[in-house]
Amino acid sequence: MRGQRTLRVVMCFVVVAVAAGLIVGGGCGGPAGETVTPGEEPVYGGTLNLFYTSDLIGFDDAVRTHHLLRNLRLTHDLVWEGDWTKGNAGGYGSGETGWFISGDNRLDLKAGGVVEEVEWDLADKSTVTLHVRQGIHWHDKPPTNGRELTADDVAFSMERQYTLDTGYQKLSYPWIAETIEISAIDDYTVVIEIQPDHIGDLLGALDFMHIYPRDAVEEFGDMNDWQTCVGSGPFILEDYVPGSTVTFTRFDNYWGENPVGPGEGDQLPYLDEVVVHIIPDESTQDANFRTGKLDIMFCDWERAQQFLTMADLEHASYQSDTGYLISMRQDVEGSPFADVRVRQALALATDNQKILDEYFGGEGAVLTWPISPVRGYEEAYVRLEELPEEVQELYEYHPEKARQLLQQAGYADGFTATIVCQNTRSHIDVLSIIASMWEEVGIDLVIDAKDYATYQTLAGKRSYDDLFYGSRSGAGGYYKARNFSGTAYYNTSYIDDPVCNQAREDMAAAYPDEVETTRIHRELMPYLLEQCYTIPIPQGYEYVFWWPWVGNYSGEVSVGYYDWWGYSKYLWIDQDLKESMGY
Amino acid sequence: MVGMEAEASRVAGRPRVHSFWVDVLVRLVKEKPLGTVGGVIVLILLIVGVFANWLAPYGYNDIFVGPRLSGPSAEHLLGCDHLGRDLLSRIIYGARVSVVVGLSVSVIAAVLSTFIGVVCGYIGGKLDLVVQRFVDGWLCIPPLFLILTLIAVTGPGILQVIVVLGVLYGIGRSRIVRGAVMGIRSNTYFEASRAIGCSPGRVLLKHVLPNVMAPIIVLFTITMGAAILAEATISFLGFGIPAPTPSWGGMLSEAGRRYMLMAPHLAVWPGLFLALVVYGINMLGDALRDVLDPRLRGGLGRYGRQKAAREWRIGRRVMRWVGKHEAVNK
Repeated sequence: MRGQRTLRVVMCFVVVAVAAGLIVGGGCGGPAGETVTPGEEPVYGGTLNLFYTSDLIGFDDAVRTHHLLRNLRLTHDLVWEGDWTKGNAGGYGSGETGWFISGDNRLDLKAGGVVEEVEWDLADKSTVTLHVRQGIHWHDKPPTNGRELTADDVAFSMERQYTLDTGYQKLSYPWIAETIEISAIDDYTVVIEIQPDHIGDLLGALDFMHIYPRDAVEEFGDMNDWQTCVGSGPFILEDYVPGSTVTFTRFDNYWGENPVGPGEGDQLPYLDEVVVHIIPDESTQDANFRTGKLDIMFCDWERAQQFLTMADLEHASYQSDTGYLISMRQDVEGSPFADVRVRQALALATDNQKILDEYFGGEGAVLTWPISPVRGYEEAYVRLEELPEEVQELYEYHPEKARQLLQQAGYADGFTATIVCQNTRSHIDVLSIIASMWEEVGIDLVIDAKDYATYQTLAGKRSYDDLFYGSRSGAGGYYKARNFSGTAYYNTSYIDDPVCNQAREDMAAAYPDEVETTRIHRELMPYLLEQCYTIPIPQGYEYVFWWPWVGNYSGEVSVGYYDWWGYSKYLWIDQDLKESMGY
Repeated sequence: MVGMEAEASRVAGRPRVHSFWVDVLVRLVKEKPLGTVGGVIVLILLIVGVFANWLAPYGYNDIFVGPRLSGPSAEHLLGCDHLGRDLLSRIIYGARVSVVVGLSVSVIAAVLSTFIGVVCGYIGGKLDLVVQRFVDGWLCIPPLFLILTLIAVTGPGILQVIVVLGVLYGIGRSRIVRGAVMGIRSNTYFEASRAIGCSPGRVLLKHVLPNVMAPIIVLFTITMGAAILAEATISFLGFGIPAPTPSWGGMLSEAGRRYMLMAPHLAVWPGLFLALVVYGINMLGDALRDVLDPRLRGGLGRYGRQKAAREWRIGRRVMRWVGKHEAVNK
């Protein structure tokens, strides 16, 4: 009896130990065999595994907001896009940009998409001519069945954006929608008539809307159903499992060619497949990337620490163009935020340097509004130390002065304010820090965290009572002044300041003269910061990691203006290397 | 008379008469050591929850009071989290959340289950038929799905969590109370009270409720453990107590899971306390169930003692009355 019992106990231990070993071993990569050195020659085939933090919300950017539909960059084309050769391009580009920031909108970095050339007269900016590229074909799916893309498709797609009530361009630039005239004068030429001071907004729209086939839209009503998705992009949408994966397969008749490097002239794309895994949870994302199930990882400084210890990985870090800020209802009469003293008090009560040092590891920028100090936009930005002293002080930590200002404004006992944010780590953590700081001056900050869908809806409508935590428009749109004027949803603080409005008009009139527009923006910045219309949050460096089998990749985030995933068509997967590493 | 009195005394003895609760407590300590340990854990939880302000060395949102992700030290006994907040303080304040949620949910659930169970069990008939079909349907819905759906509608917050869990458990557990009520309906004293014309309210208050109090008390303790665990689950999924208010489940979900490899203490301590509290509550509930159930005891038992004491008192009164009459007749 005792012997049998002992045997049972021993067997239990053995089973548990084996199970534990399998679980631990399964979490690690496979056994490393002889590792192959990454090659430089392009390789056709393979699957690129990417991830996205939320489920796809649509397939038609005339129905849904463009920059929330990054999946369209794989299946559709833009009028023009970022020039791959101006980046690192696997070590063969000119390196004028790293394509690290999402909103790089410099005209000299553009390259043709479906349009070979965009033409306008600098003196008379009322006419823009688009010369459509010949030989672009739609995916071989009904009703297009592989026919050629024409100027009529381009004109039709642009028209939709400015006429549909859901069109992003109509919503964001209603003044253009009222006056723009778009027409295809032949199979390969589109002529656009606009008011001269609208040219900046129009040129920025050319890589902010996708091109759709007229016959498909007329047959299906819109293109928001994935099963009817037809584009001219490098990949075809093959399968979509909501909340799980999206699978794209190579379009064999894609028009694009590799413009630089050892694969110059190769037909794109190289990949057989791109699979996007929908993984909202950060821990799961990290685990998948660590085990080689994902090929590229984008993360902040905090998450990067674990990957920096993995010697096999490649990585790059950069100052992010993303800027978070606390917006305030300073437009509501009777609101405490209508008083500039209260807004300045909140700024003084925020220890930005501590946030940067403790939460972002000391790397990054304190001042991130109205734009961040990112490469290519240095002339439009004023550094903290270059600001007038009284403005500099506002972005240092002076809780005593904050209390004095609150007392002067009639809030000696402080007040309670609710801030709407998204239920994510990056929002909650920072606001927890802010809440602790503001508590010192008597401000009770209540964090109202919303799920993604609710939060995006509120952000789009600028719907909140006290405070809102969100992001702003990137550096590339600085000349549009959307962060501090107008009715676009980036103006979450409802700023309606004559000085800001005038600056917007001046920049619109000066564009595309970027020397003049940067000068105007630079002169405006100290005034804006003194008004404390928002509380900008310090922003740390962002990191991108990738496995060495991802070929021709240098850490690009967005090749163009909010052109995420657009780099996919230039990448290849070194299958031999991947297998030799045990993945 | 003396003989009769002596006879009554010999039959019943002169037992030590405790109050009901003292008797329960004494039996709990003597016969149920695990339950006693559970009771001590619950007591500590209550004390920590009530006096969190005084017990915690720091505020729950005092940021960067210590090095980020640091381990246990003399200044921070359990270490610090990713925002440099003292982990011990956050666990103590998290206990308050657990106490508030646990007690509140248990009270709501006990009141609701008692009301539904007693009314259905006492009245019976068509009312019982209809209500129990609703309860059947309610029990078929997966609890977590129901919780998340309701929280998604009402929004996250401690009040919403309490109300949702209280209603969820209250309806579900009414079946047990109903069963207990139906069990005593067949007792003679029940019929007798109705036969002499007692109103339904009096019957419910005087005869039904006291006799189903034991299972209600056990349900109360079991619900408390379940509520604490459910709140932790909801917070773990991001639907529970909003930040920066600490909750053990939320601490596990946020920093605990994210920094599991770098700072495992952020997951270990909240998880350990959560497991300990739920274990203690369940042990206490189990022990109370055993102590309060007369069928699980031998000999006279508690009811036997009380009955003997009552008979002894009646016997003494009878003896005195008989003695008076004898004296008068003499």
